[in-house]
Amino acid sequence: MAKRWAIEDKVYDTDLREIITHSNLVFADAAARDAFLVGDLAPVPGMLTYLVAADNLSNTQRRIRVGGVDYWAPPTGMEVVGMSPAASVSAATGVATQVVNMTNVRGRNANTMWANNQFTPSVPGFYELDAAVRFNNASAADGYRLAWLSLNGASQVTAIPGSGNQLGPGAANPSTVHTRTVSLYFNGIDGSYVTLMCMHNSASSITISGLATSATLFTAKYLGM
Amino acid sequence: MSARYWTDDEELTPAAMNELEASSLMTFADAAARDAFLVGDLAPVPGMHVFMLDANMSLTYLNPGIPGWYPNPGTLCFAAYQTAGQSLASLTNVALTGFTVVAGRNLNGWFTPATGKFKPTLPGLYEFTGGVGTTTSPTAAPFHRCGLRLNGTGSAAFIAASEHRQVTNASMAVGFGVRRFTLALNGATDFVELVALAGVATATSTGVLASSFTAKYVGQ
Repeated sequence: MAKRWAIEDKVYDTDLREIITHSNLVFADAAARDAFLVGDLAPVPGMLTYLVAADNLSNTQRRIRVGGVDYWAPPTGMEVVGMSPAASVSAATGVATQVVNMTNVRGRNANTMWANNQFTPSVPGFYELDAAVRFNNASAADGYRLAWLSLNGASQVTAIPGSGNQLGPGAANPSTVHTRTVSLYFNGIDGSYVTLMCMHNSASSITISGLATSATLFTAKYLGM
Repeated sequence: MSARYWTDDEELTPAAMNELEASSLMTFADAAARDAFLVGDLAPVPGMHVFMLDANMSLTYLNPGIPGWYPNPGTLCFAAYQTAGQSLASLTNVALTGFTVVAGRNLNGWFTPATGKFKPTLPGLYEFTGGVGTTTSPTAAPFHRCGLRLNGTGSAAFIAASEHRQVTNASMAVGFGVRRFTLALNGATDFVELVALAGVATATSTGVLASSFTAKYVGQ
């Protein structure tokens, strides 16, 4: 906590250590931080640390306390996950299809929040979610193309309200449908997860493109508490 | 409050300690505790950082015309969506209303869910996303569009650069988002709405294609 100093106050080493706890602390990496911040320098909410190892803003972390549990939170606005399919996915007609085969193409998977084709935030806060799905069949020009984000399920019933966009297909070209940008709160402990979904009613199955064209993409940003 | 280089012969006085406190990342239980503490020679100055324990949020004191505690760039102001359909008259700009905010998020109460107006009291840049879902689409030449409107009514205040215009030719539900768009708002009178224009009379959707609207503060 901040302290107002009066003229009669003496400065002790404990006072300087207290100021250190709410300064901007720099460490080589998380192991060095964890080894240093013990005892009367144990992490407290509000503490800010920078980890040199990766030398980018993803390693600027703020200590927060939610529900009595402490976390190192990423900076607001930082992309924590960026995933695209490593291989194409086949979507049958009229079936809610989860986009799978996702792999880390942007070097972003903070705290391994993406696993098993699901985004499962492990730090409490608001997250901004974006995605796009590329329906790759140029000849499948009939019907609609729908992409959305689901919360804790893989159907339209579990859709995040307002996350979907639905358009008609291009007459002779693949169609890319972006989901709507949505922001959700996650408490980081109940295992709530998000999946990227799509559906169409073309006369035949459609291929969702993989890395070769990579228009299919899921990203998540941390927007703070 | 400015950076200081310490020499060997200097003493660490209470005044110097106050300087250190003021330029550190001060932590407070809540806004009342902060405002009670930061007075006199520790009165807020631009660049001062604080961390609010009650909100788990760090703030910076700035004075770009309106002094105040500003959130970090990237902080969500609100996220909202419609839970009931809204009628859209043909070829008429309609401000979307009747929103529900996600997880109660409504920073400083700047967003009015009933009217759909976002009116922040701190000047700065705000990034908007959103979009519209409709239960039907035009079957011929007319189009659907959505976008942002700044400080007004009708088409005059419509920000064309934020627009998504959708031409469809099948009778089906459609959904489409505005272009992600950043606006500089003055923190006093400026307000922003999400506006839809339907080529033929229809209504907004609920559920997966519900109309949605978000804003976040992205700096000065």
